[in-house]
Amino acid sequence: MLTTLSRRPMRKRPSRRDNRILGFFFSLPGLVLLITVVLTPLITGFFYSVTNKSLISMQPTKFIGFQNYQSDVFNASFSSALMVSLKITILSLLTQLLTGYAIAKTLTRKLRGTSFFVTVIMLPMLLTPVAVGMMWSLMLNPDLGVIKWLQNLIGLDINFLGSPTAAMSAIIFLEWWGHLPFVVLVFMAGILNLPQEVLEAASIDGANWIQTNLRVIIPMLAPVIAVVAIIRSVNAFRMFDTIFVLTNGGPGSSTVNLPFLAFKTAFTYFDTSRASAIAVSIVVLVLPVYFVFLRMTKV
Amino acid sequence: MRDRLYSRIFAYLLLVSISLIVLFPVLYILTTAFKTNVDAEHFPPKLFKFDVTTDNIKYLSENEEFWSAVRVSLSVAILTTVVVLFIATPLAYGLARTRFPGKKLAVLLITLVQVTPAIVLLVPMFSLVSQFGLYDKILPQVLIISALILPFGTWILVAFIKAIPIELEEAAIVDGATHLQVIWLIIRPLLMPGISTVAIFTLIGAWNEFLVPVIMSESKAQPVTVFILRFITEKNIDYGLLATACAFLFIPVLLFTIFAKRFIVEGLLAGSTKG
Repeated sequence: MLTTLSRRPMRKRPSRRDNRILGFFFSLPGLVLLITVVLTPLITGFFYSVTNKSLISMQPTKFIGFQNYQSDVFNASFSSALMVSLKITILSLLTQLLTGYAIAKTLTRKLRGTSFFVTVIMLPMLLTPVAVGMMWSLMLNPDLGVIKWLQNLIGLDINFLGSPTAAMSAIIFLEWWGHLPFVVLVFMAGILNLPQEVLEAASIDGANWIQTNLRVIIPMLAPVIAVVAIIRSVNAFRMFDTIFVLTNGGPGSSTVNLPFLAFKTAFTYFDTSRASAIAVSIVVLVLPVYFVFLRMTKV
Repeated sequence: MRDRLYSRIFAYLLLVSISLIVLFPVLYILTTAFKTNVDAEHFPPKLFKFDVTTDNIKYLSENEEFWSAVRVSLSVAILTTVVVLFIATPLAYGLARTRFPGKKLAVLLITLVQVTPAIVLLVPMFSLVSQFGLYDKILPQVLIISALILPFGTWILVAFIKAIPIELEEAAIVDGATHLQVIWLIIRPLLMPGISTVAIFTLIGAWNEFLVPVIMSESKAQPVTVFILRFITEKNIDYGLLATACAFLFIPVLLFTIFAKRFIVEGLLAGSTKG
């Protein structure tokens, strides 16, 4: 029925004007939502950032220019938080790409039980991040956590919430744990879509395991790896829930990343204007990634 | 390709160890929910041998504030899903199939949400919401979470719409159907898997959301994700209750993972690689 329909000669395409009006009305609710909830606060935030607005100060809010962006507190805390954000992003991304590739490769070998393993490995991505953070903070508790017990078994003693480096490793581990599934699933799809002839040719030509992976599969997978890397970076950069419950930015401010810094400035110190300056700076920082995303978007 | 025995053993070792790293914490939380506080705080930890108790579950189920948090979580999740579906579906059709004034703006804004950390919007949003007297209400949470999930949902649907052959629509138009009839009678039924996928992702995403409600609520509109914070104080962590509440948050997600795995995998691929 449908095939006979589509074989008929074309007499009339939907008119262009009809199309434009329809598209406009269809996207109107979306545009209204995005303008109210995204564009308005962004513009408002920019205006707040050039004032001395504060939720606890008695002084009337007034325009103070770019002072918020120039103060020493802003500079020191912002650059430290930027470093934390970058460290989390880069280290969790590298570990995820390496382990994700290995796991995806193994899962696409069509071994028995693959479906079960996929279901299990998928889980962390969907579990409530704040509860995941709670779960790990119970396990990492330096006095009675399971991790301390496991460490005792092999004769280690690291308090993962005690020192800056250890706390950072814990945060990076959680980021790895929570988002590894995404990397695995996208890589799996990528590997399954590879042209089989090329892999067979490599095998016939006597390529060994290392050559097949490094010279054949990974180059063909490059576009997929790029997409995964950029999506994961954006998400790791804005990590919040886990830091909030696991370290609360500590010890000191060693695990305060940019979103957490903006949150603390706005809702612990009630300094709306400085928090807005941080927010605006974050937007400026992610602009290059924004343009990459726009180029990836094909509609 | 030869599949040597040791390579298969290695493969299973890798899969089993990664599964343990994933499952151990989850099982630890699920079992701790059934422990007395004495057992839960025992060191070395009692992993298997403990007295099973339902006290934690009983305590939570008799706690009025917990049920209020559950109601908020469910309302936010369901309302957000309705909003996202009603907004993302036509938007996705508009983006995938038509040109219209404002299309560029829509793409610019959707992409902006994808790359911007939510806190950037929430700092000024908090002041705006307070000014309009909407603090500690469900409505702003629903709208903000909808906007945060909208891009992902829209791209999933765009991918699904693009997978429907355009000839199908053109043929129906030739046969005299109006554009809206085509959408309702042809696109809508074919799009149901895509719509279900977006619904699942939105339900899970809104259920899991923490940052938005921690800023936008303090009591009446507090969902379970924020409610659980009260079990950790400076002096004391209530292991049993905290684990029980976390397990409660995990349950719907576990069920979705088991029963809607295919939708989740397909949606993830469609939403991230844009078809």
